[in-house]
Amino acid sequence: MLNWIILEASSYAAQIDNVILIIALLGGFWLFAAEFVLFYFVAKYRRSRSPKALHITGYDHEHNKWIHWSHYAVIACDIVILVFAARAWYHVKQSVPEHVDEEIRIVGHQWAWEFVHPGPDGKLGTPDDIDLVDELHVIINKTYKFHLESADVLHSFSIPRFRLKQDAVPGREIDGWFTPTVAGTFDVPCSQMCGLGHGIMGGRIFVETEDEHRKWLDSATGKTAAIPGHSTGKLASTQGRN
Amino acid sequence: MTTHVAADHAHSEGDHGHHELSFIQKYVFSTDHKVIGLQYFMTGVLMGVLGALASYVFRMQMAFPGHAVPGFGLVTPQIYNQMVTNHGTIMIFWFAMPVLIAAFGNYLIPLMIGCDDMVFPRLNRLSYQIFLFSALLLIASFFVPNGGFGGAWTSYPPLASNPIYNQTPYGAPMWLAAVALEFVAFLLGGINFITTLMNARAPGMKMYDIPMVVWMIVIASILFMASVGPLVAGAAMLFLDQTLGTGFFDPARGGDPLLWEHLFWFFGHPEVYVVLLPAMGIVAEVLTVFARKKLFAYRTVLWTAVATGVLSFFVWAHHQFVAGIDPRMANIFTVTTLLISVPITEMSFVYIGTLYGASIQLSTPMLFAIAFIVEFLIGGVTGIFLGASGADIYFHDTYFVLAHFHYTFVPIAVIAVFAGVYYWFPKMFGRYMNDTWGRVHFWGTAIPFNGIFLPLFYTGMAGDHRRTFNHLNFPDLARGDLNFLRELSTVSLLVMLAFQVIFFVNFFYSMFRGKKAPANPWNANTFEWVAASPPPHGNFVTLPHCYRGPYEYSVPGHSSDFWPQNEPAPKT
Amino acid sequence: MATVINLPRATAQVRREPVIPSPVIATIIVVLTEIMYFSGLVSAYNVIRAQLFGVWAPPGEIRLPVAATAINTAILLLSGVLMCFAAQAYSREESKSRAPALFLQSIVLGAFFVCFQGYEWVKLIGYGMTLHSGIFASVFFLLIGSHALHVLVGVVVMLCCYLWMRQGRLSVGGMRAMQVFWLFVVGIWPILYRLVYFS
Repeated sequence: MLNWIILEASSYAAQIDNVILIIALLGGFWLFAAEFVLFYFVAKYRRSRSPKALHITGYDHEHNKWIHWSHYAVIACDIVILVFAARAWYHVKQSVPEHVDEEIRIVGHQWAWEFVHPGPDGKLGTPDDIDLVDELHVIINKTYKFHLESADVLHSFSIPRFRLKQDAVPGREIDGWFTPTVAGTFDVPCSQMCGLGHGIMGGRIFVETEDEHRKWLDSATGKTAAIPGHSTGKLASTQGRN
Repeated sequence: MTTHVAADHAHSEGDHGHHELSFIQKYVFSTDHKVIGLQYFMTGVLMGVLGALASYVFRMQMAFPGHAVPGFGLVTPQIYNQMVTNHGTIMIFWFAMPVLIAAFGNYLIPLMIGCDDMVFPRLNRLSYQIFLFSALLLIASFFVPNGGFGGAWTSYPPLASNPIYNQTPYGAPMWLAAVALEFVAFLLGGINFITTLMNARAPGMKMYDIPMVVWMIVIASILFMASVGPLVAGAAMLFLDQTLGTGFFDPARGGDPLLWEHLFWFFGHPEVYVVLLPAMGIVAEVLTVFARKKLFAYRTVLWTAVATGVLSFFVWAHHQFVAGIDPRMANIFTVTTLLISVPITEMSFVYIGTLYGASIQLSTPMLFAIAFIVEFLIGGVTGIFLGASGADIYFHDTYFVLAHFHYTFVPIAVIAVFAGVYYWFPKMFGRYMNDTWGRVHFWGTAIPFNGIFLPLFYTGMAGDHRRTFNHLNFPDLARGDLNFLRELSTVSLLVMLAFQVIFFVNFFYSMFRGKKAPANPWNANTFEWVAASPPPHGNFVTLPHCYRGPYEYSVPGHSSDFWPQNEPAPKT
Repeated sequence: MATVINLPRATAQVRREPVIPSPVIATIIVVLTEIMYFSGLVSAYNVIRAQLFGVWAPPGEIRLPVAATAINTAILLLSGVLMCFAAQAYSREESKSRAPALFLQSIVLGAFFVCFQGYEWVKLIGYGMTLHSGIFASVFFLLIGSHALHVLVGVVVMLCCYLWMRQGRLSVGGMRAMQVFWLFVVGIWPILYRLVYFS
């Protein structure tokens, strides 16, 4: 259902959208049922139609059963939602696919994203790494593992079209993964208030075919964008540890 | 049970002499709970107006980015951050809490339990003075170099702890100190509410005879007491980081930003129930009176409120699912969060059940009370999307969250408050508010409110993130349909704000020129309607005795459709 | 707005005897809030300590005065015991006259505790352990300092209560309330001492 509003562009986007759909159906049912009953009572029991009210404690079974029955039904719905939500959570946050094609390092800065690509040798942490600002290039249908850090304050790496989000915490390296499934260019907004420039802290992810990606690699080799005032490519958190 | 004459607390000044009290003594430095309640109300509403003005400024920026806001000017990123930060902070701490708890609590509790004042009247006065000072301190933070704090009401370090990151070296600690002082004021107030309920009830008033609004305010006070400690600890650490350059939250020096998040949200989640419970209490009073019907399953309402309060201590990390906590923890908090939806759902169903077989008069207070349920149900259900970890990955920090919590907070802090104001106004001022204008105000509030926040569910689902001063900076969000919805939201806000003028005019005009109201204009049962309208200093000519529960309406065989708590049973 | 108008004044009425005196309830509420405050500090202490990559100890060669503080702890505990005796004596007519002396002794011991702590602190600061000299010192001073502040406030309030007691203006409920607060301050100290001085 969410895909009507925003594209699903990763391997787990549909699963997350599914969770949202189930909550919408079950929650929506209860919402509309409760609102209907509420409006129905207001209409049926208004003073002109119902001049005298009943005197009910609400403890007797005759009236209580409506609360009880719906009580248990709500719990049942909660369990269904829990199962679907936990499975999606586990898939995205508690497990990384066995086969990872490439790794990338991401560093959040006030106020830009630093993306470190492995470069032609395919390995992260080697001299041929490509270090860009606000630009992330990936290949469609390949699985990426990312190592997320922050150079200063809390940021949050998110790609809405992937249904991906993870806060970047200074002093930690947090891992995650994604597999893009639709080619295109998508927003990578920062999702945690990080100061004056939070509103302009947006990167772009370029999901490319293998050919396009090779073309980009050729033109980009040796390219390292400098972020004034910050060192690039190093673990930002090691800077303060001396 | 021994009894003795003379209250166990000091009387306020002027009690013993026969001299007339000056204006200053009567209204500025009073220890009378009614005056203090109204002081909290006026100050809280004034702060609410400031918070609303902030929302006017930033919503105009959201809808028409880059255009000067009429009456304000251009909104820079710094101003934008300060506006959103202080809007949230003011609305929660200096509007919702003071009005719902301190104003209604102070005014109503001694009246509704049938005594003459709070147990500690001078402590009560002190709490208001500290509260007022905290409000002034917050306002002052806007006028220092670099202006007020702009790091969001959640104030996460290292942004909040290091002036190099937040650029507000004076504003940030002032903001924090103002919040801390507000906490102190509410602790002092809460002491009065709890102690007064325990020790000063009218004879005969047993546990289940206490009106629900009194219970709810006291339970909320207990909840506040129990949850605020860890945040004060965190605030002390944050303040030291801000002012003395310590490293409690600096990872380079062994600190941890996530420590703040846990301490904050451990309080932050119970806090939402601290404001919800009094609102539900007010709605219970209004519903029963205008439905002429007992509260459905009083004991269930009471114990689910307690259960909600207890459970609220176990859900906090659902605000931190993607914050970098251990992913395994997320599942536990999803379970507890879904669990807490159960007592709340039960309370909602029970309130709807109160309307079954009722005889409903759609007075202005009743319209607001019913609207509370209608709107809060939406808020509650949309919370499930956020409490379920798998779905929250997407929704966290989007406008969906914002729409959800405004669908809970606005019913709590605005709709329920209006229900209470229209209902108790005759008691407070001895005059009715104008009912026709009240209804105009109602529709002008309830409908535009939906116009503001329903579109924001959609824009949130489309990817609009919070605290973003111009969505057009993000190419995927620079869409015509989203622009339209942002404008719709802002225009609805303008309409809703305009209608509030009607309320203020009605309120102040009726205070002096409204139609005179008797002691019990609504034919209600609870003790406050026994006192004169308005009640004198000391409240009752003769302190009442309690003979029954508060909701004995439409009792079969009884001569009228209400049976006040202080009326003795007829001799057979 | 006329909330105070000239209607017949409410007269002081018959009131039930509360089961727990109001000042005691108020103090219990304060104490519960304070316990949560200290719980927050203690959990911060534990979290920071668990995550630290270095050694959890004072900076440099400084060592905490464990032995001296042990004696100080005993003094504080004794102060608490004396307070209990004083409150108990005050609540009975036949023993009321013994209360002031016991009370004063309790206050003196409490004052000694905080003064001695202050003296130890000055020494630590002299050796170079300040609020800034590392996370251990920061947490130490905040946690122990919070407690010391409560001891100081407690001593001051107890002095006021003592003066009122001598003037005959202190109710039994007020004395019991003071006892509740002091027992909290005294009782929480061994926990903090064990946690911080023996890490």
